Amino acid sequence: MTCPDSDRWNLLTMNLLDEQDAAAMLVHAGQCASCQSRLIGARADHALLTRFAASLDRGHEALRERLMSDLPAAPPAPAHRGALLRAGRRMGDWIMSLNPRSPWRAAAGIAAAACLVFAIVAVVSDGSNAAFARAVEGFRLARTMACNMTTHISLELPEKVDEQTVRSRLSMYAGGDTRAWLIEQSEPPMRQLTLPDAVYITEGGKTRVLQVKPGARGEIVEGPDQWLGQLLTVARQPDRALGERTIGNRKADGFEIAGWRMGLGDRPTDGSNATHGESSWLRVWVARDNQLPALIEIERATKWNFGWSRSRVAMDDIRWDIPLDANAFQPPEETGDETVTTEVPAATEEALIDGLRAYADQSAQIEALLQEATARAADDPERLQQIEQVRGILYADSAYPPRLDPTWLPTAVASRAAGLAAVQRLKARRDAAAAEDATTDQATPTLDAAAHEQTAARVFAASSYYRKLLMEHRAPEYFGAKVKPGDKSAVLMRWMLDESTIRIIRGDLSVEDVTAGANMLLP
Amino acid sequence: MPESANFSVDDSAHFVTTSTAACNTAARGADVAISDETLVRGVLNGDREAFAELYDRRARLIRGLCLAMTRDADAAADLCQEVFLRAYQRLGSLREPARFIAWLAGIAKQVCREWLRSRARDRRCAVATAGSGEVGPAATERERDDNPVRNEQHARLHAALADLPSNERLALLAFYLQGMDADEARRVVGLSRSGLYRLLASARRRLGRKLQREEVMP
Repeated sequence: MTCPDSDRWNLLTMNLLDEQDAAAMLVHAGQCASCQSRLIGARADHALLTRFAASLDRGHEALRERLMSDLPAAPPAPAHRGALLRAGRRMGDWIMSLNPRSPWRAAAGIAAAACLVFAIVAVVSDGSNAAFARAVEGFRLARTMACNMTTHISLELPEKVDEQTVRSRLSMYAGGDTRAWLIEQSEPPMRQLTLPDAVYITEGGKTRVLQVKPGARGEIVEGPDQWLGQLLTVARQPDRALGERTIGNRKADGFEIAGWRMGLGDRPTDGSNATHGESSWLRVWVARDNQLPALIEIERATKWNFGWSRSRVAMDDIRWDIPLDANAFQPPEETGDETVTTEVPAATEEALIDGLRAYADQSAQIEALLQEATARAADDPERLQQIEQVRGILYADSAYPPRLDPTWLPTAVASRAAGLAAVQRLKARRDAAAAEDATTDQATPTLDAAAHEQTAARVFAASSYYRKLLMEHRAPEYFGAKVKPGDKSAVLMRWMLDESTIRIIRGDLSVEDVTAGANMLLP
Repeated sequence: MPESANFSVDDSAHFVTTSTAACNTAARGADVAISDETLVRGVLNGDREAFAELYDRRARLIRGLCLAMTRDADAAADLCQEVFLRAYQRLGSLREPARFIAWLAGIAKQVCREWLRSRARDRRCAVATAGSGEVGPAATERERDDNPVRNEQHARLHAALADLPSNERLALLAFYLQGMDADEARRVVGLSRSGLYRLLASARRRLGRKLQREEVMP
């Protein structure tokens, strides 16, 4: 036998030769030193490749689990394009075969055209959702970003409308899995640097530091970093496609995501995309030339007891992966005296129940004060009216938080605490002025800053858990505006534990699990 | 047991979904080989377990392809996930479900190229800012950590694989990462048996020379 070439030795090690040839070669290798050397080399390479293959099984199970949980809930959409064209042709042939005088021919033509338009829209939507996913992924991979940001805010009160437009520069610097955000505003001068565990706000030459436990910062200071961060974790499919638009001289495709998916509002319980009659959405316009967001618009309309607040933020002229000064994203060396440190409990079910209880306890304090004030003002209609206004401002009609919206609740709790403190101060002054009539009210709580911070933190944790349930697609539904504390028959909140089990929190904060589909009276 | 091929497109989606899933489950239990094509059709009918089965079959190859292109084991695992996610989203556009693995390999190539372009952007940013005294984007955790492929031989192998022509690399990985099954590898690369053998031989030859050259060089 002549010496086989290296290719055949390689194929032998891969078991790709027939048995007779392989046997003959092995016998030859026993008699030929150079062929034996080739065989040893081929076997070594083969073993290396085999070990390499085995190394790729590491972590397979965990990766599979992760993949399956990341998959969209809906099955892949079938491709309609080819079928669409074929169906269109067959439809056209059939219509043209009808008697030209037949009234059905015109009707059939119109119906076919309508179906075709609808199908085209569906096909375009299916295809363009991929553009959205690519844009989000491009955002995730980007190391830097900078844009112009215009924020328009309006406050609609019964007697007037206050409006303000603020222009600033927003930039982002990403390192590893963390992102730093910088807002620079010239009128009025302000600089806000948001890092994972602290926010630095510089105004008038002084810097305030807001430090919160990691993961809770988003509930304390809301801003574009939080909204855009949500964009990276939101479902891969937008709620609707907006069509094409020209931005500057660039063609872009628009996509809208309902605000409540971004944490802007509670998840609607009526199957709509609106919440509390409000509108909020985030729109991403993806440039066709680089498949990245060229314009991002966020709108929020929030209903308060005193009126409406509306804000619209537009981030335009977005540049990606441009050189930025990393030093600008470092904490300032000198900060002022004001440092607010808040420890927010971790977002757990226990924290949810504790937060609801904390809010209800605060509601009880408010109610006690208001009842006392009402009793004292029994003969004073004007004062009674003022007390009712305070009740409205303090949301005293709803013992539980009327909403768990993380972008609404912190403000509501803060204004409530401020109102409560004001009422207590008024009471203290009145008591001091009428000292001879004063009765000791040992039940009246005193409110200090630390107590307020602690209550706020407990309530924030409740809204954090609500948001966690939203992001985990557990379909939470909250009915706090309609449920009184202690009402064990009422459902205060519920969410999906799994496909067949719903967890319920009742008005008395008891917890129970029920089978999905069980009859349940909702408020 | 009904054949999934006998269902017409007019059947209710629920009936098709449950029946296809039942077929797949029964077939798996009976140790009958199910083709990729059947699994793909199952996924399109809503059978998520069919997609998990596809992943179990093909993840090793895709991960190997990504590793060969990126030379980064952590990135390869992440990119493999991305490949399958995109495949799931685009599965409806796959005209020939029987060519699933070749189609999947094409997605893997695209995803890896995007990753490599992104890395190139990082380097450009770093260079641009370093020249002006500014600091470029911070390195990722992956870059700061030690190379996860601790075995020096594997590192040399990755480098050698990356240098192969893409069709040879695909053939070699398809063979080794799909249980050394020549028929499976043929399906991946879409060649005849002799065509596959020629590619494999050529790939092993190049690989061998590359590995030997690096052994000899200091």
